[in-house]
Amino acid sequence: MKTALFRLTAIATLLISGEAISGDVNLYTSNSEDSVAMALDVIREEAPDIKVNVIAGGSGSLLRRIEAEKESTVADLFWSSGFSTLAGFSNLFAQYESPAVESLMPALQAKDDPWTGTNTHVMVLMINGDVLEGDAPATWQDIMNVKWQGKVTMADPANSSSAYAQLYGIYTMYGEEGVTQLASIVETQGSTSGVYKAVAQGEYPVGMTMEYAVQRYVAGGQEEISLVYPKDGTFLSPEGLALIANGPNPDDAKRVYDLLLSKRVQEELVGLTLRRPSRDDLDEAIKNSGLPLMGDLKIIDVDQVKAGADRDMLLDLWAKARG
Amino acid sequence: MNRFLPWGLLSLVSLVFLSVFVAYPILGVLLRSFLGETGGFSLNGFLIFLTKGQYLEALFNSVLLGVTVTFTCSVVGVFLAFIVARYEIPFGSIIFLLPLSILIIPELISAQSWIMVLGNNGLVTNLFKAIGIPFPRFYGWLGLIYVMTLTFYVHIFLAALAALQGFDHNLEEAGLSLGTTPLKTYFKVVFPAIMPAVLSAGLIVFTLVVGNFAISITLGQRVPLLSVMTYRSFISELGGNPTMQSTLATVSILLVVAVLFLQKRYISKRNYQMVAGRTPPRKKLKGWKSFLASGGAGLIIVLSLLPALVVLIGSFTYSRGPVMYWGEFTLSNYARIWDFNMGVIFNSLKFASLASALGVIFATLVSYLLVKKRNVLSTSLDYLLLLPLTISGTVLGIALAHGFNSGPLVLTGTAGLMVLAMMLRRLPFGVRNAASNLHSISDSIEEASVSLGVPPVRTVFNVVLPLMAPGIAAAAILTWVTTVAELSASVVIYQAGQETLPIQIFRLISSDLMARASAFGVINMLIILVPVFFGIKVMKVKLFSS
Repeated sequence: MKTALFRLTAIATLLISGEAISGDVNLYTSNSEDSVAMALDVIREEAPDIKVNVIAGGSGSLLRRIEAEKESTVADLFWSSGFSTLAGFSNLFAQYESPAVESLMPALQAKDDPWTGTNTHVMVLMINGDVLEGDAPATWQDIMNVKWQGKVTMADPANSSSAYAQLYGIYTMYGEEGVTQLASIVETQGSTSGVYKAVAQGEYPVGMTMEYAVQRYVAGGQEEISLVYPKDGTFLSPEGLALIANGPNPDDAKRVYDLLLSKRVQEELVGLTLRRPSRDDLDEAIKNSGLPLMGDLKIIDVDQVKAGADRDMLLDLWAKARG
Repeated sequence: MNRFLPWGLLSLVSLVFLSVFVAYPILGVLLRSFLGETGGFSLNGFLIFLTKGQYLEALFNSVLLGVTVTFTCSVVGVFLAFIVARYEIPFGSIIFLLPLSILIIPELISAQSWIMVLGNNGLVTNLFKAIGIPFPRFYGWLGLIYVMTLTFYVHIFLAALAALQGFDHNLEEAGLSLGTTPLKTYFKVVFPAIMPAVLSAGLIVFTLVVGNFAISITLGQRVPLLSVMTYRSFISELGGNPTMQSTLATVSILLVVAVLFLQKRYISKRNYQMVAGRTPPRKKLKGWKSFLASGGAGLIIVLSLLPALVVLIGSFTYSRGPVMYWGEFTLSNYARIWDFNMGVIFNSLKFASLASALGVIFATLVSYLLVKKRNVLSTSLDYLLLLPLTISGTVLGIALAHGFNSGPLVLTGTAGLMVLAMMLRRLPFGVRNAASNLHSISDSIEEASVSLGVPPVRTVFNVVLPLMAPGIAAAAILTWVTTVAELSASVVIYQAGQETLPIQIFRLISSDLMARASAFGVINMLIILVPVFFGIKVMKVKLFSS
């Protein structure tokens, strides 16, 4: 009886909103406008029979929306969020072994999890030369020096998954002391985008953010902006996409899933959005878009599962250190 | 025929509608703030609010900002109203554009365009830098106060202008003839008389500032504010805390209720009735006084309209990613919309027209019931209609999203909820407009018609509605204008393919893609402007009669 009622409301909902007609794939995405448009272009060409409806928003709100809609799932795919964020919602996803997985970097295959790596962020320092006094910091350790107090900004790790990845990386390298030290230096922004916008506008000389966000300004030609890959090592924050359990159109959704991992989409995406792709056969495209190759960076291995498990502890430590 | 029919029944229907869609969701928010994580009664939310994080600081900042901006708006608004009402200035005829400026330029756009002008990389900032004068930081308090003042002073300007035009000049002359200096007369006689009007408008400004989302989130990066915190608690990337969302929402509701209460007490003690006043002739100013008056007024007008110009130029400016190349022009920002985003425009048109139509019909009906057919239900209706005033768009969005995501009526995710949110936000104003319009229609006209044998309902359609028509048209246009620009409630509840123009602009600005955001901004302004222009020029609707 109860399910019947739910189904009725679901149907009524669909009638009112006119969504989710069969053949449509509802793609919930936190990716930027231009990435989505690019992916849609390719999908439109490669699979013209599929119509993709895009539902865009912050990853947290989208995931909670999918959770709220569980009784009458509307979403087919979620693209994309950090692995540690996805781990918190893994009961929403269905396992799907995409044939494309074999072509990905091992760290991004996520074979045991109900998601697959699409791209990875690399944590960097964004520098605005116009407001920088003296030399730019070269390492994470540099910015923990009191001389950078109030001049470095990062997003609030409680709100932003990438900021949490930065914090966890610092924690991995420098322990509790490093976290406390960092807390006394940085000023936080409410959202991830607040960081690169603030540095680009000259609000701060240094920002802790993601590679692609800075490269957009560099590629765009804003000359005072540069980025530093910290010499003491940097961390990846892989992002993945997932198939939603009990989605309305799983078959077409899987085709879109494969397409989002395809060479063509990833190649075009890295050129456009400067996000480092998860495939390991794209060195040429990566070079062309001006990014250094993965082999040239010092990467510190971060355990994503542990990062998720330590979240409450670390955020608590952070909150205490911030006062 | 039963005496209860049809008016009593209609009152009941309205009452049920408001109870379900206004009272129930808001009550839900209030109640949830007292729920612990396990579901039992708990004051934990408020305990966290008072002891942890920046919540208390945010409340303090919001109040301080509200008071400051209300004050600056009063200064600017009353000054401009005074100049316009009393003096002849060279460009007096374009003053009518002013109230429109805040309506056609969405807050979000005005905040972002001011960043383009006065931000650290802004046009003016760079100019100052070039000549070696340091320019003050625009982000934070300065920017918030500046942009909010320019956005909201118009409310006070309109109220003060109406009050000044209704002011009986004889009173002022009496003061002068008794030997008081002109300046002192202004302070002792004129200003106290327009004070209630300014304060009412000031209250609106205060609630708008405290509940403001768009400007606060773009400019208040280093200033914790209640409205932004409420939004973030709901939208936070990693599972927000429902108790905290409701607690923050409850605090902002209580804040506005407290201010409403204070204002009511103040106004009730000071009620001036002007006997059809004689408006003083407009004086012509000479010399430096003229320069000062028209220069000051001119500056305010230019600053109010400037964001529209900046956005217009930005929309044609070439950009690579987030980097804008000023001076290099392109149509690609529009071409992209044509290729990909026409749906966004249709969404805006669809939701706003539905919300406007429903809102105007409901407001007309309810105001008629309240003014002309009072019954036992009327007082409850009055109070229910006040409720939307106490909550910001963000809180309304949260209330509706929580209120209708389970239970017998599931609306979360439907277009219906978007329309509902847009309609409810404007409803109290719509009813107030329609009611003031109705007060001026004498009961005797209606009674005459009924006594001649025309049934009551037909009388309404044949006699009352035609008389109300100009007011309804004005209300429809104003509702349209505000619903097309609505962001703070819809950004909380929008869903699959329901992006409206303001939501799209907000998202693009978040990614720092200003050129493309500007193109959407221009389209948004056009959609707002066309009906306004049509209404004023073709249908001769008086938008700001009161």
